[in-house]
Amino acid sequence: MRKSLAVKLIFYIGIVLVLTIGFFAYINTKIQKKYLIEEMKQSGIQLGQIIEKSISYDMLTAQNDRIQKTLEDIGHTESIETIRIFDKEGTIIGSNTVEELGMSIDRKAEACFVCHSEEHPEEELASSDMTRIFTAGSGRRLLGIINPIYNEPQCFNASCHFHPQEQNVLGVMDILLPLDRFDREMGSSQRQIVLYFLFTFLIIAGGMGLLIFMFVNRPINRLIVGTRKIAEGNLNYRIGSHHSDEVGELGKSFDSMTAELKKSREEIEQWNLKLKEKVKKATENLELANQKLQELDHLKSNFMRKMEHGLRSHIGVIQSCVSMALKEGDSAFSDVQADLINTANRRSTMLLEVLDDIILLSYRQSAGAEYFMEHVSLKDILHKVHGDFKVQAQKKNITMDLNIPSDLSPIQADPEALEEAFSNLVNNAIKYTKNDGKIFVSVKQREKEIKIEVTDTGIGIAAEELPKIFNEFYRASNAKSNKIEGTGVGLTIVKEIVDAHHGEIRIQSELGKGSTITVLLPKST
Amino acid sequence: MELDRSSAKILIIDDDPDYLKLTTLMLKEAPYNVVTANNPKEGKEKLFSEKPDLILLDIMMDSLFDGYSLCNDIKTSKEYEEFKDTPIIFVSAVKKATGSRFAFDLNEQGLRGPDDYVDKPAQSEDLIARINKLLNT
Repeated sequence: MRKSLAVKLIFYIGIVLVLTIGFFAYINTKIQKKYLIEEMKQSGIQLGQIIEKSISYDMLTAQNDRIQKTLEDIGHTESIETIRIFDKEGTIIGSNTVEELGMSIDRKAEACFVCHSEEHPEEELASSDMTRIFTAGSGRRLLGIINPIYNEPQCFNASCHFHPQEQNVLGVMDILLPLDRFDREMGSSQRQIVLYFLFTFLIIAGGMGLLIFMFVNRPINRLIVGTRKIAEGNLNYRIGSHHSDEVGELGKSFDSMTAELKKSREEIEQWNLKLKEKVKKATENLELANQKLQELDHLKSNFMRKMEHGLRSHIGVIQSCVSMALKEGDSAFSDVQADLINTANRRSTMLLEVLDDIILLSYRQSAGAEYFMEHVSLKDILHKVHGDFKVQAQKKNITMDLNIPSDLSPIQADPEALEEAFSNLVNNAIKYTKNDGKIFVSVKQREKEIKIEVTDTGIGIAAEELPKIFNEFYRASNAKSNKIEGTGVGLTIVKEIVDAHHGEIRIQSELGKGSTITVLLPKST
Repeated sequence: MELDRSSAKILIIDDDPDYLKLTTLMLKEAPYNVVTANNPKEGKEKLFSEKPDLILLDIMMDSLFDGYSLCNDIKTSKEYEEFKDTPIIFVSAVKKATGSRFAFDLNEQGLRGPDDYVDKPAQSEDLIARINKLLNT
């Protein structure tokens, strides 16, 4: 939980105030008390001297009754508790209480000890030694004043010769003044000081608190509210500080920072808008370009169709005419003519094949090559291919076996593309296998893929040529030397199709013994 | 039940006269009774007058793929109702895999397709085998 700064400040300032004001109040009371006591002592001493003077004549004339009377009179005033006159031996020779007369006190008593600590007592006393403060048995505090009565010339020159000249001090007058009133007043004064202290403390603490609240707490709270608002995204919020102090300064810089932030954000937003516009425009351009490309693609495929149609319809007719002419009248031609027509037949057939392959390859390699994936039965496709090439194989007396497991799961593929690929493979196998050879198509099901192998007992491919066999228009040297006609694009097309199905194609071959082409197709998930 | 081949009448609709001549030669050798038409319009007339047992239809004649619509009409429209079960074989110099994609194109355009198709030029054995198959079913 957040602790308010003001609360903390007021707490610590309060502690400092209590300590300082309390300390000063304490010292002040002490000093005041000390001065007052001193003052009282002085007046006590003066009082003693005045009393001594006022009874000195009676003492000279040894009129003890009068002295006693005076002491009794004085002693009955409120300001004097006790007044006694002791002779040298400690015997009370005058007192405001008559009953005490003739009593003596021990010199060892505390009041006497100041002077009588040694055998020869002090005769000259400092004023501080003349006074003492003590608590009487009744619990009241009393101020005692010892006033020595010195042997003055009038005393030892008096006609009675009572006091010898050598004697310095004749006795002491002891006055006890009650401190009740003083203590009372001191008490009330202290209470007043405590009250003042409390009052001052409250005023200062309250004032400080108010000032802190006004100059620190409030502006800082506004700053906090401001930061929250801005963090929430309200960049229009202003603290609006008008203080000239640091906090005010902070508020102002905060406001200008927010303004800057707002400006930056607006700029960014504008940029964003511009960017969006640009992206939109670019997208439109792209769409337009794409549309044009599609149009071009459409034009291109139409062109290809027309070209294919144009070429094929003519070559097709030529080829058909020639092959039919051959069939019609084998015997009607001379050997040379038959050979020429045979050549024309062979080459026109070849030309058709080249044309087909080139058009197929250019389609498969074009960006517009489309694959229409569906769940297909590989079994059906392979059976169809097998059926399509049955006649061709029979012509060369090649046995073509098909081994497909009955529980073959369907795969996700373009059936026409796959048919095209396997037709190519089987066509190759027949083409490169000599009469009475064997072709074996086997399918094996694996966990994640289906493995199709097309094996022949053909002429094979030299090991060093294998890596190049999928390159377009590449033909193995033994294919050419054996005068087997071909375009060299069949395997390239097959690889394109297998790749489009995320499959894999491999070839194994041994020169003169045959080849095995392996196609791996992923099972549909 | 095997149909008497010579009694089966085949209508060939193609705009290439040489091709018509060639195919006629091939089919007569089979032997079939052959009727030819040089364009879709003539084909339509011959269809009604000759009532063939099977039609060999060229796809590209006056325009690209006009064979499509004729095939669809024969198979679906009321006008040709009596011929809706007559088998049709598409003949085209455009191989199916070059992008014409018969089945797909037809399906996309919502057209009824043919019963079979052959490439042009058709080898006579292949063509006759396909015709026989359709006539026997």
